[in-house]
Amino acid sequence: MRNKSKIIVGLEVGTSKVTAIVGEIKPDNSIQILGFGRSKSVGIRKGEINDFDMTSECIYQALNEAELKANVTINELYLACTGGHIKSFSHRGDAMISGEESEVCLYDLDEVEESAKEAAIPAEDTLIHAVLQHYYVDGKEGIRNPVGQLGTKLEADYLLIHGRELRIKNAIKCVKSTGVEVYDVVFSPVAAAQTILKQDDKRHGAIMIDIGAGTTEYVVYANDAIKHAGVIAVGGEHITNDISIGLKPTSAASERLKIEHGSLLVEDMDSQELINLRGELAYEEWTVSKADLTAIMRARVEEIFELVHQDIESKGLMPYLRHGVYLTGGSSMIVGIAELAEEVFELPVNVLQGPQTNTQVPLDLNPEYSVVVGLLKYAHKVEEEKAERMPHQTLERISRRVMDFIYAMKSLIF
Amino acid sequence: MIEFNRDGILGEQASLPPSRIKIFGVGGVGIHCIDKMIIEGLNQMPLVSFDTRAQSLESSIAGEKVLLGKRILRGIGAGGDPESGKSAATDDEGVILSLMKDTDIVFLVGALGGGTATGGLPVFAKTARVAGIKTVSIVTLPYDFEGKRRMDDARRALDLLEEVSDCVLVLDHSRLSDLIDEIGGLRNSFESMTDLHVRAILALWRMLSFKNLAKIDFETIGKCFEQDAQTLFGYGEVRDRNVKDALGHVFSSVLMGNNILLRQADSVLMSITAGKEMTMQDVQHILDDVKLRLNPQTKIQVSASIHEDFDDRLNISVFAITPHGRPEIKPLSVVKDSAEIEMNLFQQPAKTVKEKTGSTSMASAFPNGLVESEITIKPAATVKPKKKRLEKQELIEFQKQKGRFDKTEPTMVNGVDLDIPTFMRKKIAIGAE
Repeated sequence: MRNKSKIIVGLEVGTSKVTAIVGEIKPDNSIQILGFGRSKSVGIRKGEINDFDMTSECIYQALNEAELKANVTINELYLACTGGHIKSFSHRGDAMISGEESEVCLYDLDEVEESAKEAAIPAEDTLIHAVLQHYYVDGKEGIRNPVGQLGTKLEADYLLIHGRELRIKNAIKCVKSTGVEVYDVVFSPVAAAQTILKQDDKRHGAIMIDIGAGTTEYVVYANDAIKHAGVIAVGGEHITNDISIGLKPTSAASERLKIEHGSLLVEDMDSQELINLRGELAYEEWTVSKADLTAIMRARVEEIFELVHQDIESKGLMPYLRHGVYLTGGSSMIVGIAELAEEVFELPVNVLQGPQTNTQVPLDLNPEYSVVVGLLKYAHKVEEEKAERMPHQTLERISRRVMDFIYAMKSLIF
Repeated sequence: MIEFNRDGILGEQASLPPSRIKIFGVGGVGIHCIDKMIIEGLNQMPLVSFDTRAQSLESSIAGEKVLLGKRILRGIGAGGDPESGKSAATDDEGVILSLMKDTDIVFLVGALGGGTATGGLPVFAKTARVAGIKTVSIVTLPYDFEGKRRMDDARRALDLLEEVSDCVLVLDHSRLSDLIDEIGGLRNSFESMTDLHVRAILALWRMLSFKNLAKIDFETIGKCFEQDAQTLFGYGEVRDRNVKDALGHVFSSVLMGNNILLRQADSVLMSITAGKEMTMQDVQHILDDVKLRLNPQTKIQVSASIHEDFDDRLNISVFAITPHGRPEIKPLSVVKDSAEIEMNLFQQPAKTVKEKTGSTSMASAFPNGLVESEITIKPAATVKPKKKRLEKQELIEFQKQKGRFDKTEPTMVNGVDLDIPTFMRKKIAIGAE
């Protein structure tokens, strides 16, 4: 279909790091990653930009590095966005089938999508995505591709993802301030799911939970369709903060405690072990109890899982998740997190972990890059769909206009 | 027939010992309030005027008048000095005590910021406490433009008063000063303030007085007021027992200019007074209407009293007590279960009336005719609610404990701030501390 390769760029502005990735879509439809760049985030809290100038600087660094490695000039990119303000819900749109002899045509698909997007969202919000779930022709369920089917009424469920317009615009503005255009905004977990969940998982039902530094995002897939997506503005930084409040070491020491000694295992709750904080400034002979550390961390992570579980359960999706839970993101590296997730969700849990920084490992498998790689996959899909539908659509629209005109003339004459 | 009827309603109640209430007006404003009550024909109440200035006492129409500190000040007044007011009252403690004899509750009325009331009221309250008499202090704070010194004096006196008085109700002048222009003139503003002052006194007095269909006891009132809360007050008085009009006045006036504040109220004290034709149905009718304006969780305390003098008049007074810093207001559509109403009926003691309210259409457009004011009721030292205070303390602790998220927008999920460490919210004990 395509005989020219195309460069796509993805950018994730996370609470702990900014990651940019450059990929090339080959003529054979495969994606090759040309390079990536990353920088440590400054000025971002809970997935949202707090300090505009500092963040802008971080984005610039990451993009610059990616440009150098990939040897391309970045002009526009796909931006992953997140934040506690983003919400999603399902809405059903409908349209009367207008094609020749009641046959569903591409034009009807557009109509039904427009109708679904008309759902009411708060005035200060903007629609980020309308992701197709399923079509219904005359009430018949679960149709993936209705084009060509006969019927009178076409309906479709869409997952509408919306968030505060100004905050999203703020993120876009921050990227633009580095001289790069934002082509599209993608909700981070929707992007990440493209890499983490395989086709099989999407069919049989699975949850992907990405516990980042500032936010925890999750997506539910079942029957080949996205069922739900959400975000809680709580992440690894909260765990660190809890530790520094509960055990009173410095913030940096808390982070080290979390990474080196952190555990969520039940047996560690009764551990007699004392962790020595020697070496930390001002903590010459300071020990903390591993049991306390575990209790603090467990309480927080358990709460995160419970909130996600409650939300998914309230949507009635728990029975459809045969492929269980996929955990990713920095905080999913904590010892015992799979056991805890299993306890809460009562489902099999897979933790997707790769080495921290190892370019030898295929990027697909490194959870650090799941969002940005997912962005490329998402972008690729969008471009593909666009290419597929555009020519048909325009032709059909024109022919429809002509037909409408003829009908109008007819009615005038008779 | 009429006689019998009257016995039927009132006879039973007469058998119960009524609370003996006396109202003491202290200082210039206190006397003014007492005079106003008398002018309004409320001289059946035992009213006493106190002042340090002979001249102002002389012009007062109160039946009982006491010149304070005759020996020290010789009737020239305290001259705005709280110390003089204090020593004058202390000097005449014996007189005060003798006037409090055979009384259950004393209402102390005055304006803080001057000399006599500022210095004297705490002495009055202390004397009453020693004698085992409960006190309700109904005071005003000075206007902002009266200067910082007066305000400081008033604040100090208020702190003292809170320690010794069982119930302190503060009418805040400052909000009224915003309305001076609207009302037309400073004199009117003072008049309306006095009017409100009197209405609040009367409402409380009626709640505690004896000819009641439903009565609230002193402890209940004390409990309602014991939070460090903002209290709103409104009243409406109409002829023809027109419930709708009366409620219109109540809710369009004073406090309830703002429906949102009213919906935040934690508890509401209502006093309904009417002639002897008033029935339980009337009371119920009023309550049904009021419930619709309140949060379902709001606790309503109702006192319904009958006054022969009232004939076809109907008075509804409402105190709404709103705790400070309540974050959320439930949307109107949430109202399904009705507010819980506690009524202590003489016929059926301690009966809890629970009802379902119907649709919640709210007629909010009432004419704004009356004066607006804000009353702050601060708890007295002895009735300090330990539990409430602790919770507040804990909340402050939590806020301090947000660490690096202190200055960020809170992450609120289901009304819980997730930035506060989970182990603290779930009260998991950490041994290393």
